[in-house]
Amino acid sequence: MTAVIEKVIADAKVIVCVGSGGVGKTTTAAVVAMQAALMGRRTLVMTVDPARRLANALGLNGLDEDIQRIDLSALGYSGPGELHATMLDMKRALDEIVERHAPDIATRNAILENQFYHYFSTSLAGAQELSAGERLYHEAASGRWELIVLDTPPTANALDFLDAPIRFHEALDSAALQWLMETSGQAARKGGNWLNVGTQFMTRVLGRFTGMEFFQELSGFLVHFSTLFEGFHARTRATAELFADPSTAFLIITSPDPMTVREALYFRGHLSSLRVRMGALIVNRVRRTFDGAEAEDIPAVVDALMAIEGAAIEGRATLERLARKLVHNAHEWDVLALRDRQVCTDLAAEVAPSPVLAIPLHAGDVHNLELLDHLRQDLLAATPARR
Amino acid sequence: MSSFFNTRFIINTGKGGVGKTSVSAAIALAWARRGKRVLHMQLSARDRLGAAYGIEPVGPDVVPLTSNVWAVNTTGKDAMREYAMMILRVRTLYKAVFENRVVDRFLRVVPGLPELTMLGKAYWHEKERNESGRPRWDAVILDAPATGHGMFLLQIPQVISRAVGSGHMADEARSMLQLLEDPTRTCINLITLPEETPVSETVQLHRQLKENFDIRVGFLIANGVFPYLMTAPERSLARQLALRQSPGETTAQLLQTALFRENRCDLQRAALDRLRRELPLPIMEIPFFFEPDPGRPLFERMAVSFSDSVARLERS
Repeated sequence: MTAVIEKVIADAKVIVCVGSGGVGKTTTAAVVAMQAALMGRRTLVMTVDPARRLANALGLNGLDEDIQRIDLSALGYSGPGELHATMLDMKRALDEIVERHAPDIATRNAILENQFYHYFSTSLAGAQELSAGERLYHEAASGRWELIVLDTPPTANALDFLDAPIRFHEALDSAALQWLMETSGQAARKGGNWLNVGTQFMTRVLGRFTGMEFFQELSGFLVHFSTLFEGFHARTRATAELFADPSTAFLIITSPDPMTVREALYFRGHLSSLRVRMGALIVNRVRRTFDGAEAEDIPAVVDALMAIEGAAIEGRATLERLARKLVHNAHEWDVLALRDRQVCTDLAAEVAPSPVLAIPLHAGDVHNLELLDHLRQDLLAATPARR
Repeated sequence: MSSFFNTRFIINTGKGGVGKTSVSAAIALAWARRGKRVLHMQLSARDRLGAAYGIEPVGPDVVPLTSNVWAVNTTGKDAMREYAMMILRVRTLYKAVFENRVVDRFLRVVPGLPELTMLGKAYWHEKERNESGRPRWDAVILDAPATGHGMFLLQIPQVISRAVGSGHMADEARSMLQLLEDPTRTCINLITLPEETPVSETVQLHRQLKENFDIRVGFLIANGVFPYLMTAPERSLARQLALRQSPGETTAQLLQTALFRENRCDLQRAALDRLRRELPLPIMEIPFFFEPDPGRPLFERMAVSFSDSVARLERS
């Protein structure tokens, strides 16, 4: 039987992993990419998380912008598939956009040296997400990869990066730009009055809002910045199209925590409205339920412990103390495990027909390739939660 | 050092998923138990408190959650509208300018503007007075965005007051900076989970804070600390028994689940030791509570633990 994730991978050229912070998004992206490589695809995983442990898990000393090949021979794999990994450095990605698209050296320097750029380049509304999209497009267009798995930036709203190209276009479309240029032109001419009355009025009110000095500095900067868009326009549109392409699948990653699940459902709603293709919803760190009624029966547990070879020597009293703790723990565990199971069932009903895959909780952090491979097997073994 | 329960402006930050909102809600309840009025302020596109308290999602208007605890949730867009209305005072003027298509689009990409106005709203609540001229809130708890964005938010007043000489915004930024840097009124708590990655981020966050801000760090809060189930001899006995042939599957599963927890406790202890080694701060531990849903009962239990820890840390 083909596992859900195998089918998602087989049908996709790009897989985008989205989800709230702290749900194991980066690890899941790596695991999915690893599975793709083992299925024989030449795969690139692009991560935004500088977590050293993941780099270590992949057998690397560190991850940076350079693309590095991961050695899969430790898993006994010798097929044609390849796994490569790279990290997105947001600041550098934006600098690269400036360098690549600035119309001339003077403009490029004006932007790179601008104090607004300096402070805001990593958080200029949507700029981070824009650079992630740009890099994705660049790699997708290179033709080097059969599959790219993208781990998305940990933004306030994890889906910002989907809207970023659109938002930038809207903000700096021709009407807005013209208005800005007139305004900053006015600043340069110290009140030259070729402006129409409406623009003068707006400028005055906004000036009152932000302070005239701030407003002028800012519009100057945005006018410079917008020159990038001459060359950039086609690329951002292509990136937006890549996200919407049927060969791009989205995975929503969540934990079973009810707060996080509500956010995952919000992402899901947002994604449907964008008409992108949903691959699956992955619930990480799901506890297996105990379900054993006899686990409540302390004397029976003591008897079972006594029956273990060499245990009787500890004495019944000791084993009884232990049994009480074991049962107590099972009880606490099941409070959460039953919650987790309910969460998965509810999710499955909510997001049908998209599959919901529950990945069991492991004790430790994933810090080597072997543990990453365990997670991969969990992902393969995950059957869709039933409604 | 002033007592935590005299600090009026409390900022909670930490990596995504460490339980910032739950810890903030617990801190709010801890204040409320002292008969103080407190405002829990979220800066999030998605409200997390409404569902936890079984009410409608919390939005830009202040709503009561429980006795002495109120909540508000603001986004950059809401805060900007409120701020503009405060400055311009005339609704038609606001509508004419800010609802203009071009201006709206422009404002949406202005760097830092949404963050400044959100922080401005928090600042305004700290200053808010009731009819008799007394502060409306004994404390404002700012449930700040996750690490990266949170740092950016706190940096805004500094950046703007440096970059801009005059105007409303520059004045606002300077007053906010004064509040943030006043150790008698403000502190920032770093919230983390006792696990590898969150601990690494917390150490990094602390370094960034020290390098870039003159803001008092309050508590280092380790959330979700698992209590050990067994004594050390019991643990080693359980480990031995688990290795031997077990007569029943249930027993084997019981042993495995218990050892799973003990291993997790070991890993958490190692992470906490690392925090202790690398950061010169007292660590407050909030235990993991076996509550299925993040809601009032969980927050109450966390609040009791938090209050006890504050008392213990401030005594020592």
